[in-house]
Amino acid sequence: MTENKIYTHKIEKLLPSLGVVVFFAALAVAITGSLWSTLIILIGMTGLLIYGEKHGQVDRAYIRVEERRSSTLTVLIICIVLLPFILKGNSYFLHIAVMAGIYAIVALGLNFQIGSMGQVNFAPAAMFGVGAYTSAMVTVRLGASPWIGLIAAMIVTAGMGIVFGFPALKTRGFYFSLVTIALQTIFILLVVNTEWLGGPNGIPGIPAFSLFGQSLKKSGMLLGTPIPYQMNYIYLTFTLLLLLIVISKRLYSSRIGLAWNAIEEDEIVASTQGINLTKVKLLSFSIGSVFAGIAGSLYAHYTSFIGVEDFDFNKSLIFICMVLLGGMDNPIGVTIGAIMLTVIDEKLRIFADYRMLMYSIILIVVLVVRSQGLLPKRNRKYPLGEEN
Amino acid sequence: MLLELSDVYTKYGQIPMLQGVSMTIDAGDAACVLGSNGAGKTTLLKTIIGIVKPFQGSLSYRGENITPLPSHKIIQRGIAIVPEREGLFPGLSVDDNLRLGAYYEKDKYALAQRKEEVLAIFPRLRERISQQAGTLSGGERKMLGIARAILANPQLILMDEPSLGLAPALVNEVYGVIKKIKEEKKIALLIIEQNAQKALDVVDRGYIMQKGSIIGSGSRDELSENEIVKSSYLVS
Repeated sequence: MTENKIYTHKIEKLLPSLGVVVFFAALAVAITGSLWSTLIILIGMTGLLIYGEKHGQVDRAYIRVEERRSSTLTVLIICIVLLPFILKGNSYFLHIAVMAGIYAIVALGLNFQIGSMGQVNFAPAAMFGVGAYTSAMVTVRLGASPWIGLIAAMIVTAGMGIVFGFPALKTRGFYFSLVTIALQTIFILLVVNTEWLGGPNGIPGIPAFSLFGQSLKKSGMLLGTPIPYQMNYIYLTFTLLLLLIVISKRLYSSRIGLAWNAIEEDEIVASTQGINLTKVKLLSFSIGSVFAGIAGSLYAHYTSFIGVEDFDFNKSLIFICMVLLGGMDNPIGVTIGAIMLTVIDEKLRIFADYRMLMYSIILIVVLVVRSQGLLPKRNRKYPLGEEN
Repeated sequence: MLLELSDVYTKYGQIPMLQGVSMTIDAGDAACVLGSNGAGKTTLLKTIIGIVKPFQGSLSYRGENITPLPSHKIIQRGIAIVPEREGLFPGLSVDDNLRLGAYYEKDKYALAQRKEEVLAIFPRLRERISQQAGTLSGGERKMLGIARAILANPQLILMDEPSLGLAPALVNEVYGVIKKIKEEKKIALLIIEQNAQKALDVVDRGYIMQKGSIIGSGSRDELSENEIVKSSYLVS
């Protein structure tokens, strides 16, 4: 091997970690910069992916990451730890990052239905709301710890997921989507008209999470500089996000994930392969809803105030866009999609009333250029038998 | 006795389909059902695997009454199906399709071993293992359907018109494989066919179906001499 080759080989080994660093740098620029820098990053990312796919580089990148999983993960964790400092400790920028993490969790859960099973669920915001309201009620009305609220939110959303999933057993395609739109509307009306749930006024004064007797809502001091409390939530949210990405990836390569894909392709054929449709479908809704429930609980205890407008139909559409833009059935893609859209949504505030218009235009352009989403689904790998 | 249908009646909405079908298949046995379009052959298969439920009569598999069971439970008992056409998952890779054939196998390594054996019979599928099933040619799809069924390790494979839509050379290839399964793997077969010539080459006995009823049955030689079979299905 010539010296030059050894050198390229070494660089190749470093590429996954370098990729993570570049992604976080881009994220920091997107959050702190102007709308234009965010858009340039989105365009650059899309262009890079299209170019990479044409030259087979995307597949190679996946393989490289898998080869050097532990070092990539370490770099990723370091980047998350450093993220608040890169964002200059500005509480608004940190807030965007926290929201991006929370929305990414909802999108990951929604992906089990839309991405894996091809059932377009128009009620993810309702499920996000169920989690937030459960957690808020348990803490505000019953005075329990927010951690108990989080667990309660997970349990309630798991059950509600099964309720929301029931129509999927009997209806398909458009009909199912219509039913979920109805469920979303019912949720909003139910909350607005129930005094006990705060009605149209929402629920104020939701306590924050606390760890080791320290409230996460307390700003701290580090080396003489004040650190906004949002930093604590970045760590909490991204830790959970990382965990849920790992769970999503595991589910994708498991039999369950494969069964979801089979149902998307053809339900009847799936049942002739021995798949229990009822169980597998309800599982998708239940697990997906637990994700939304976790995010809802985080949101409630982060903002300390929740109102019904945080969980309306528009929010549901945005969650669906995150899955579509990021790439169906690819947890990493969905996470990137969710983060990008959250940041863009914030940056578009300069357009005031025209914000949704601009948002839609960006979405249309990206999806026309790259209809399969930023990072589409990947082939599964199976262990090889012994060659004979 | 592996599979037994006794006096099965089914209907689609108000339209009667099967009208009192009775048949038996023994372990390691190979039988065919000959019949023209609309005779109810495919309905028969759907009834066996529980997609269509009979309103009268019963089915039993290895002595167990499987009439009320949902499809996935019947499949789990050891029946696999090679569907006529749209039976694959075209958007998934060949590998995924094979994995789904043995959905109930939890041991990844035992499965990999079995897959190796199956791919030895179908070398073409090995070349296409990471391709989407929808990109395969008609013959390759049929092979994938059969490979997937074998991978499930069943005692009985139901085949819906394995020769349909294939060039004569491919028909021979497919039937060559079917013969191999029967002889080497000792799996019982129930083949639904219109191509009586090919089917009768492989099976031990058969049934003739018309308008939802069995109108005749017999051993391979008896069927080859049967007047109905000769006039309707053995036009050469």
